[in-house]
Amino acid sequence: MRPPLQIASGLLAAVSLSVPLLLLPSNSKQLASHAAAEPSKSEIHFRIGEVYEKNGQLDKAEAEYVIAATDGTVQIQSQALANLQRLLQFTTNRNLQIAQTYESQEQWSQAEAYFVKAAESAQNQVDRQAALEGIERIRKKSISPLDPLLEHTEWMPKAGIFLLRLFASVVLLLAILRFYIALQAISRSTKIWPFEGDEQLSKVIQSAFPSVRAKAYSAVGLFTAIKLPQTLTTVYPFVPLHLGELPEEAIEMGELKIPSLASLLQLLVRPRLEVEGGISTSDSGSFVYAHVWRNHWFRTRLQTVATTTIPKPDPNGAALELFIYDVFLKTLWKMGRHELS
Amino acid sequence: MNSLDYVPKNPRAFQGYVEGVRKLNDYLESNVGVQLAEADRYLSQAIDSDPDFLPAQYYKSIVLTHERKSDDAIQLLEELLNKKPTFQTEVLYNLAFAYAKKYQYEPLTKAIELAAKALDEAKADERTELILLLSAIRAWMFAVFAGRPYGHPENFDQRKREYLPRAVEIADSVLKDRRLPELPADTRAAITVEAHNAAGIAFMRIGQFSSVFRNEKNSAWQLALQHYLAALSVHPHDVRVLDNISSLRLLQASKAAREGHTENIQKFASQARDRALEAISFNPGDQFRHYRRAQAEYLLGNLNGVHEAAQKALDQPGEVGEQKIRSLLNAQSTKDLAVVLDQNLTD
Repeated sequence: MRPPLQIASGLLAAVSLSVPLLLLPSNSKQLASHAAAEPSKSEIHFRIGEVYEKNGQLDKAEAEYVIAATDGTVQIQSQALANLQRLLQFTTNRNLQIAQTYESQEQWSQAEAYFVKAAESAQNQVDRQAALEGIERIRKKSISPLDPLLEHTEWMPKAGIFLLRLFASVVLLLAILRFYIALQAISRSTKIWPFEGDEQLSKVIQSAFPSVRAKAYSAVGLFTAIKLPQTLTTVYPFVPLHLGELPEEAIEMGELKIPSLASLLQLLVRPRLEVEGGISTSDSGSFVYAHVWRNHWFRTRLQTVATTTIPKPDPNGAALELFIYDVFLKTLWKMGRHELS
Repeated sequence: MNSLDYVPKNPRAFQGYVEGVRKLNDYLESNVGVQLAEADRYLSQAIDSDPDFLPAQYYKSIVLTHERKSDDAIQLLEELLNKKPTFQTEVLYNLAFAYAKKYQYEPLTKAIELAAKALDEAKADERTELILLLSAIRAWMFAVFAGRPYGHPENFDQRKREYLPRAVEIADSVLKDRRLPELPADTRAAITVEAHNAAGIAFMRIGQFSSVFRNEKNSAWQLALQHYLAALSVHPHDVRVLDNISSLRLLQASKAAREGHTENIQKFASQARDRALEAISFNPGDQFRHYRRAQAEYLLGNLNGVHEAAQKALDQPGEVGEQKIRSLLNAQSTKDLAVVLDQNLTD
């Protein structure tokens, strides 16, 4: 609410511009004769207040009465104060009425606002008490039985935010850990590249590596079908094959676009061993060779070479199996124990 | 066992080793004799390709024992032991088993001694599975050692009194051991079968020598059968257990013959023959089960069956002894029951 003095001074400026234009005579003689009977400023404000009051513009009237009451004759002052009191009483009564109407309609927030206004403008203890009681009544009515319980759960939104942040941190940590494990898996893996020279036999050789390894593991490794107490568990740590378990889809990190997570990993780390080779086919059989390359940091060196001739036909794939065992064992011999653990 | 201590020198050795162990595992699961022969062939290939590849020698010795070629197995295991492998406890276990499978007095004594040594090593290494298996195998050795005179009648009674109750006690303690259920299924099964088999043999002998064990006279054979059947419920193809049931039924048939219970002779002899045939269907490569069948056929009066089974027994390796088999092979009739009854004496 604006201070009455401020309102009044604003009005005064407006009235000085408008009212005198209506009241002032058209020549200077008339001006001189009127100067003696000119009303005081407080009187003018008083009159303006009366006009506003008649028009129902009570706020404006109140402001004018306040100005008149502060600067004027005793008579004007007493009249202005009387009018002010009447106005405030009227305002209080009206606010109480409105508040009670809202209360009866159970519109608690509006009712409370008008009771507050009534309390502020109350001119006597009875009205103020009525307004205050109204406020208290409204607050009691608007309070739900669940509100005390709700007060006890006010911490929950913050706790929820905290948990969300914690969850996000855990997810991030897991992602980093997963990435690290993937790096390790690749760094310990063996990549079998397609053998050159005979596409069909190359596919057979590529698939034979994991199958021979699985066969050896199932018989003499940790996963023997029968595990009797006298059974020896001979773990030949043939290096794991490339897992290829990471998504190939492109990923975006901010403005950086990476073709795929797998390619990112390949940038960071290479398989420990890479087997590449070739096939030279003749009528009697196929000469097959394999180069086993060892990657260590930024260095790559030839670890071992294995060769064989696979006859045509190769019953039960025995010759191919021997070749793969040869590759595995030669690699095993060349690598240190600590590298295979 | 650390694999890197024993990497074969060439791929052929490794291929033979992998295939041999696979076939041996198949045999241990099914007891089908053909798989044992294949395991032997592959492991021989491995040893020929790399004579220093010790794991192949170890598995070959297990195969030889199961093939009833105990002397060959013992020789291989003794050589292996001298090379001080990292898997010495396992070698000792198999060496003890191979000695015991000779079914002779001194080898059995040696087997008991070796099993005790292996047990001490297993305890020192806290190898629960080997501790329980060695305990069960010791129970089996005690039952076998006390089951026959083995050319030493002077201490036979003493052996019966000492070792048969101990065999039952040890087998029982293994079966009740709280660590047993915690072992992997296959390991648990192997130990359970061995313990039940040992208890079965011990009770079978207690029933046979009822003059020494008067209190158990009426219950022993029933308990023996229960233990054998419990072993079969775990491993239905176990030819050793099937052989032992055949032996029990023959003892019962022989006792019925001595007591003149004709119906029971037929009943028990039929059961003895059926169990022997069942074992032969899984693995015919053991003269003992053919010999048992021949004895059962004799009691049933089937002379052709006697000759057929005795001939097959002669063709197979084993420790029965040629003389016993020939007595059946040369039989002209089945009237003289003493040929069988004298080999299945009961008190």
